[in-house]
Amino acid sequence: MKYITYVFFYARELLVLSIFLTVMYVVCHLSGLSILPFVIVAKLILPMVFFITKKMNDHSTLYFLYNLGMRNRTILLLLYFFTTVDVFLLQFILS
Amino acid sequence: MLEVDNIEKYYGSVQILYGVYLKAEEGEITGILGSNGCGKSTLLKIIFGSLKSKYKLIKVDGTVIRQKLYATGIVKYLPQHNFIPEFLSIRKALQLYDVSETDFHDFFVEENFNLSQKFGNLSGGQRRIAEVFLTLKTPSRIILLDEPFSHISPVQVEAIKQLMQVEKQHKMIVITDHLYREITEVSDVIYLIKNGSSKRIEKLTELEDYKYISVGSL
Repeated sequence: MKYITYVFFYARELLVLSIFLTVMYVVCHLSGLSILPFVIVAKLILPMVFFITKKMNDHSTLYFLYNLGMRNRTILLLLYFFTTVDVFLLQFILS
Repeated sequence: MLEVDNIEKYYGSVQILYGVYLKAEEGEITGILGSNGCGKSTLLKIIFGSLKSKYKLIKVDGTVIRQKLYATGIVKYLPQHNFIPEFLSIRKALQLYDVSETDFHDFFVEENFNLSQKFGNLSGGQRRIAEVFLTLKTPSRIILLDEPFSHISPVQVEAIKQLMQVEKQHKMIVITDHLYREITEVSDVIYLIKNGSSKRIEKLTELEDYKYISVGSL
């Protein structure tokens, strides 16, 4: 787990998108709109799409992570953690 | 000893590798030669575990490895392209690869490397040689090198070849490159990938016989 930082940097574009979704969720929530199901579905699909796209097109950092001994499933689990943790935290705070 | 056998790889309906066999031992550098697109890099990726194959058998010291080899932590792979993230400093990379700063400074006496420099700020050649050095010096027992001599100057190629001779004493090094003269010079054992199969080369003249190089090139 000491290599979390590297996965974080590997997935920075994904994380930016994820934060954007979270901000959208907060704005909509404050305006009385509930887009939580949409945000959750998007955040569940995006890491997988991101990982597959990266695996097919850009191997650079992925090989770095492999060389550290990280497996695909560990990387994917961390991606899911990074993209979903904020929504659950927010949900807890906002409720 | 690293032994790979019966490697078969298809890209769609096209078969690239037909039951490839290769053996790499500690104290030896195993070179892989072959024409463009014959499957050299594919073979290294399959051994490393980042690419799936239809069949493969990988043994390390006689034990069959069923998981991906990279997950065992005993292997390091140098891909053809730059792979160390741009945001990482040389110092951090040395720590992650368990290589001492002294070794780095001793090797790069001529270069003016600042350890806090990030990989993204190095020139293409500097970045490549730093990656080759790190991969070779790391304590992992199996080292897979895909085109380590590309993009680096002749003087540095010689330095890398010398470093390989030192590091091979306690490592299994498998190397492939298009610069066949460098490979034949540095390798103790050579395999040629031809028509999807591996052939162990006993005499360099066999490279002419297999039409890998033209007659009289040696």
